Amino acid sequence: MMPAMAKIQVLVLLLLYIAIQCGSLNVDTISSDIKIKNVDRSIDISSQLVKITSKVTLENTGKVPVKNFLLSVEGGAKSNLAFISAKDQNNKDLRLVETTVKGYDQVKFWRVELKEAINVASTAIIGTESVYTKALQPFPTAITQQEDQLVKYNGNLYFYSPYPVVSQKTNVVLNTKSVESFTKIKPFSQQDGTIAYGSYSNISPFTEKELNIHYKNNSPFLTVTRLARLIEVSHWGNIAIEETVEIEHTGAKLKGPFSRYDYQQDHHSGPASVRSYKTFLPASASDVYYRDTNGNISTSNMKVKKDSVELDLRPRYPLFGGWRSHYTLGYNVPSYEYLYHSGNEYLLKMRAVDHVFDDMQVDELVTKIILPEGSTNIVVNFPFTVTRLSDSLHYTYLDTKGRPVITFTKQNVVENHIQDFQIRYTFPRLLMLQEPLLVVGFLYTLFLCVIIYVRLDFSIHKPEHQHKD
Amino acid sequence: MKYKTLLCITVILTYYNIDAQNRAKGLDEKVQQLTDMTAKHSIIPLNLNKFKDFVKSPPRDYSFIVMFTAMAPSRRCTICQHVYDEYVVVANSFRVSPSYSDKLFFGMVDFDEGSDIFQMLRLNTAPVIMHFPAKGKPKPADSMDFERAGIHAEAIIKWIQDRTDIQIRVFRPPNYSGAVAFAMLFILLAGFLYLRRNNLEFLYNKQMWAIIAVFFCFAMVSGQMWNQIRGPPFFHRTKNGPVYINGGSHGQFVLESYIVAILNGAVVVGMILMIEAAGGVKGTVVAALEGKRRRFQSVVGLVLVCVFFSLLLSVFRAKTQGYPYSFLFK
Amino acid sequence: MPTTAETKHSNGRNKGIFNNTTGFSTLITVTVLSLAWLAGFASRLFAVIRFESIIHEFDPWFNYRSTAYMVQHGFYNFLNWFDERAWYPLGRIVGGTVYPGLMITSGTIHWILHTLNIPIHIRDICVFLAPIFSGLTAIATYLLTSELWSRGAGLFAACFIAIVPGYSSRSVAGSYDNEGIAIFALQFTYYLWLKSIKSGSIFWSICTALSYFYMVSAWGGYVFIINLIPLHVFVLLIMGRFSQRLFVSYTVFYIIGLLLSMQIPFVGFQPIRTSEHMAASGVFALLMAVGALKYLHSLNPKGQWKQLLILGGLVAAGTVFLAVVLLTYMGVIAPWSGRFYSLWDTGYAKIHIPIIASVSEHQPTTWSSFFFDLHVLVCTFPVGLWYCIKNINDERVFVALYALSAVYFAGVMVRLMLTLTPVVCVLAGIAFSILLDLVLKEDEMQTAPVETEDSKNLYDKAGKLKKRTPEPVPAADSGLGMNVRSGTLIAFMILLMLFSVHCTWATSNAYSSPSIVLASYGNDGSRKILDDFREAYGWLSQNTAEDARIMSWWDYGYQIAGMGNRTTLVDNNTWNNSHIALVGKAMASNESAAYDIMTMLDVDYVLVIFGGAIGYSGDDINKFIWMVRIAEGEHPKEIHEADYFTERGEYRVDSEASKTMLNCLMYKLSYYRYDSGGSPAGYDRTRGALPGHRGFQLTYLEEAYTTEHWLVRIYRVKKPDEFNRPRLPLAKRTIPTSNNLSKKPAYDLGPMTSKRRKGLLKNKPTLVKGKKMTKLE
Repeated sequence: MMPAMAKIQVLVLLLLYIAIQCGSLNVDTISSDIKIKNVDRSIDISSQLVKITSKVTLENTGKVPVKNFLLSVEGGAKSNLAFISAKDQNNKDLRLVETTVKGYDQVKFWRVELKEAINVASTAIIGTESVYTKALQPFPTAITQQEDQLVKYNGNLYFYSPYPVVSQKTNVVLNTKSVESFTKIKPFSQQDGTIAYGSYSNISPFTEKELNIHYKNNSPFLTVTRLARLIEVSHWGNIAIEETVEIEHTGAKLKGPFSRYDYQQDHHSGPASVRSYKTFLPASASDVYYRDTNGNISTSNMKVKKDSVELDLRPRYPLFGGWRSHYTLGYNVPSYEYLYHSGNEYLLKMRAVDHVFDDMQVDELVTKIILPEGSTNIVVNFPFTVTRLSDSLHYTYLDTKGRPVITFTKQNVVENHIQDFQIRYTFPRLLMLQEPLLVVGFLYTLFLCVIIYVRLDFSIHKPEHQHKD
Repeated sequence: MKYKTLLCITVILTYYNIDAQNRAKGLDEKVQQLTDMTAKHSIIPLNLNKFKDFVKSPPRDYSFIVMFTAMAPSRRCTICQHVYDEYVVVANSFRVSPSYSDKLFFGMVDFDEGSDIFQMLRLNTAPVIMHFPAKGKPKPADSMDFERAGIHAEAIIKWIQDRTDIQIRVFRPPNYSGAVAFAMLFILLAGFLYLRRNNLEFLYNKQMWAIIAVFFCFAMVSGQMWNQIRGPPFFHRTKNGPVYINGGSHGQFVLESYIVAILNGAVVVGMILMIEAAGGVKGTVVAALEGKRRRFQSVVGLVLVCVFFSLLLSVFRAKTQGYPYSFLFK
Repeated sequence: MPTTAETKHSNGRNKGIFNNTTGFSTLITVTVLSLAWLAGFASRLFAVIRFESIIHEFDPWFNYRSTAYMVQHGFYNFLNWFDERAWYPLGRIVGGTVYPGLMITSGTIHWILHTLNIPIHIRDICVFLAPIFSGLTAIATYLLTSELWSRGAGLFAACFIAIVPGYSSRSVAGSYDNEGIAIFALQFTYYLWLKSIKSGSIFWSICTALSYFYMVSAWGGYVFIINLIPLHVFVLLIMGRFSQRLFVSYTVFYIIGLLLSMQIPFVGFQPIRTSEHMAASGVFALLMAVGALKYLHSLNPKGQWKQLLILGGLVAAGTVFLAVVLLTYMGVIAPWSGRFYSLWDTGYAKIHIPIIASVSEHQPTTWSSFFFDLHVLVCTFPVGLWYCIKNINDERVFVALYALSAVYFAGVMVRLMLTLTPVVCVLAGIAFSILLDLVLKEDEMQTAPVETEDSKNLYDKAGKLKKRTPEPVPAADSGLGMNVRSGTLIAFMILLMLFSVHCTWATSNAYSSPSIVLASYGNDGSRKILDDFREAYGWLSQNTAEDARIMSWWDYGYQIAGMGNRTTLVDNNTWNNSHIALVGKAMASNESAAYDIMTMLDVDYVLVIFGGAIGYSGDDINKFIWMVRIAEGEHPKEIHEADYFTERGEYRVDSEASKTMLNCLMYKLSYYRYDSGGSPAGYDRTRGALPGHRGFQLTYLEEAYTTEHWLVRIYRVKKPDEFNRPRLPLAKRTIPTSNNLSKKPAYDLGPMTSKRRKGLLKNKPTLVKGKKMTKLE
């Protein structure tokens, strides 16, 4: 029974892989009978990320029901794209498959597989969401301690799509009134903190029109340059998680001196600097530690809420533009919340990456999962495409042949990637007796030695025997 | 009347003579005189006139180091003597040093000879060593302060070098007293041994050695070495009575260290008494003593130990802030 | 005569022990020793419990860094390690200038644990090494004392040394320093020495030599051993206690120990080239001579052999002495080094070696610090000494000499209290055990009461104070009555208890603060941690260039290298006085003069410690006068100590202070834009004064970072094009050549400029280098 299940798993995985493979290989054509009636787009650039959510109303003007359509991203922006997804009316996630179109090599396409086809002359409303990192350029690139941080956004004024768009609106959310300059193409309007463009009508496919906004953005521009996440599973009811974080302030660099005096006088000093940030851990997280290579970082405090543990992490020093810091954050969670088993079959369901701070952007994520010693036929499946590194062995207390380690890495990760991965493996429960037996045996021999030592111990009397000279 | 006029005349004449001499004195002449005087003895004793001539009056290209002191025993200035000795060392070593020149002279003013000089310079303390530079008025830094620099010849020479860039190497007349004393001791010891050569048993007298060793321990443990290096006062006099125990744990008085040594000694004696009373190490020595005497002895020892140790503890407690523990006495 | 009495006595005691089974007494011994170990370990954990498992103040950071290096790169690379991160631009050959015993010890432990798959970080091993070794020290002391007197005394001594503050001062958890393991090596060597001199067996003396080898590799204090053992032999010779055992054990020990000790790179040829070691070889020669005479006498037992022997001995001694003196004059043997010489001539260091004098632990010892470190032992160990001398034998001669020399050294230097403590514990243990043996003679269990007291002490030390006065034992006969006995018992119980609580108090209050994390307590008892040092070092390690060179006073060199991982100019092994004086001069001279020095030394950042905001007294302004003195020693032309005092010779920073003081670099860097801290604004809490010179600007430096409580201030040295000097084009022309070429020539020019031409730093070194380079190319 169990092996059978395992086989099925393998099969599913195989299919999935194949699908992805051919998905990436395959070439689509832009069907002419899809037409976008309306796009309602909002660009959120109030944080360090650019989050674009748009509501797209598709209309099928052809003769045959449409089963899928294409999403596209400008050639300029595709390197910054961290995450993209699409939902249908009743908020179901749709499957996206990377694809290409002849003649548009610069452009990046996804084929969205609709759940139910759009019938002829009927419409469907699709919500898409995409997140871009490093799309906001600080300008000027270096500021003094007292200055505000100004950033530039330049994107596309129109919804970039392979299909003609009848009418579209765009809302740009800034959360600030102080805007240096922005593209003025009628009709537009600027309310407090938002700029509304449109509506524009009848935009032909693949039209790009530059949208520039230069505005104040003091939200923390923190980049996790490397996040190494280590998950150690123990069958004795505990899962230890340790995250080594290298963090850098990637906003406008600090120019000139840092003055502690100014920094202490008014707390508006250093508006672009980061004093502290919040990290949310799972509610069951216990014995948290927060340190770096020089020992504990004593400036932090922890609030236990009912759905999460909130850590208020303060780096040793405030982070100004261009300053780096690194730390290690570790905690334990009970395994019953993440580890399920029937017989010798185990299933581990955990987050591939966890929350570091709001609107985080992670350049490189490396996750290692250390399974108990002796666990075999391991099957992993990931929520998103990652590059899996070669497995290795890890030795720790009372290990004889080492614990299997699963490692995978991913570039350019954002909050939307906080999803669960799954690992299935087999672990004969008898092996759990191995370590206690080792301990018992060791103690036994130790006491034996002590007994023998005490019996044979004359060294203490020797001096008194040969005390005469 | 006649006499009076005569007297005035003589007075005036003498005054003129002196005056004339003074004016006549050119620079080289002064230097010449000074070198002669220095040749006689390295420190030139100065009275008012000499002081005016050599130190005060302008035509000078030499700098003058003058010590103002009060050597007369009636003044009861003990430090003056020490400073004087060091000063002599400096002057002599300047005379023999390669950098000897007529650019620097050493003088000395004793209060009893030249009290008016003291008034002139508004000095009301002694000893003071002042430097009169070749040109210009002496600055405040030109009077050496012994508090910081100390009164050693090295210090004085360093100060002189600061003021007048003249290098002097200290040349102390070798001090034979220590060597002599040592030699005497050695000879005495040898002679003693020689006299007692027929029975050197006392060398094997463990009692003696033990006592010597234990006393050495007391001396060291009670910080005599600290006294010897730091030279603290015997005890501290304040307006409300003398203070025998230094308040801080980083300092101590000589008397204090003696007290501590005695306390330690008492504890040790007490313990030895108890041991001997209880039969000694060999268990045979004091078996002769009958019970009562032994009991008494050991009780005495016990009392000694407890009382004096707790005294020690309370003294320590007085010195150490926030020390919580005490025994018998607060 | 005494020896026979001794044997009788010991037999008498043995009877007491042996009517219990061997196992029982062994059980007691093992229990007591393990409890002592436990107590010693536990009483050293205050720092770890209060703060965290972290390396303490200064030197331990270097030891930790080099240990980590060894663990990472292996032993041989460690021996060949040239650390270019220290003493820029000179660098430091670490492998040849450290006693590697400490690193090897912890590295070995680390290796063993990791071969057993126990992944303990090297830092934790380093932190807990000293407390673990304190237990070993206790055992070694037990062995030593039971060699000297009896096992009861041994147990006492073990329990004393386990917790006595004089030893735990250097061995609390986190103070990862040589002394921590060296005291164990010391005691163990002495134990083995006594063993060998008793048995006269080559085996034991070889063991002694090996243990001595370990000691040599661990601590510079090995000189104490190599002088004390020959002294022992010499005194034994004088006392006419020559024997074959003595001959064998010393000769074997000396030869093998000599050869082994020369294997340590740092020691090298010192054992045959320096005066500190000459006593050993002299005694060796003397012993040979006496042995030869003995042999000659054994050829014809008749005749005037006594005179011959004495005469020959004297002649031999004289010749040896003369030979040593002669060699010293010829310069074959180096004379006493300053540190040792300052032990005899106590005023020496103050005049000639300001760096030694500036260290607080090289001051003489007051009686109160004796009492603080030894408490009741200080007034009981003479009793032990007394009885040791009264019942003298070979090994008690040794302990007497040990005690006397150690007590002298401890009197001269606070630091050497460490060598005094073990022997005091031994002797006090002897004293206590004599007394309690006698008091508890009636009931035949002798060690048992000893054991109860000890274990009681241990519980006390471990924290909870159980007041359990022991039930008075019924006296069989009326020696001294039972009341006296019980009274004595109770009294001494109380003494021991006082001792143990004192030890706990002293260790926790005086000796267990890791000086890199400060804790301040609010009046509501709440604790606030001031973590400024690590804040600053963390900032350095993250936000400065990889090869940035940090200039600071030498106290912080090791920490900057260890925690900040950056290049330093001077650090805590003060081997190059002139270099330190150069830094001192930079700190003491005004900004522009300092800038010339700093450019010559390629300084990128300057780090100063400033306690004015929180009233931290150990900051640089308070140390500043030593910088001035050391600088003046090397550059008497530029720096005058007197200039930094007021007219009345006071050292102050307020408006009274002297011009030089108010304009020197150290002052400016400390008070630059300092306006916070107490009222009125800018008030200096440490000096209790308002800085005299405020609101000034810095021309050549800019504030790079200042920690939260102003404790550490880091400044960046501007590049020449960043400030407009009057002759900017010239600077533009010269400096770049110096900057990008200064690396190489700095290695040979740096020391020369700092050593040979003492005060002549005024002329621009950049030009010199520039010329040189153009010549080279």
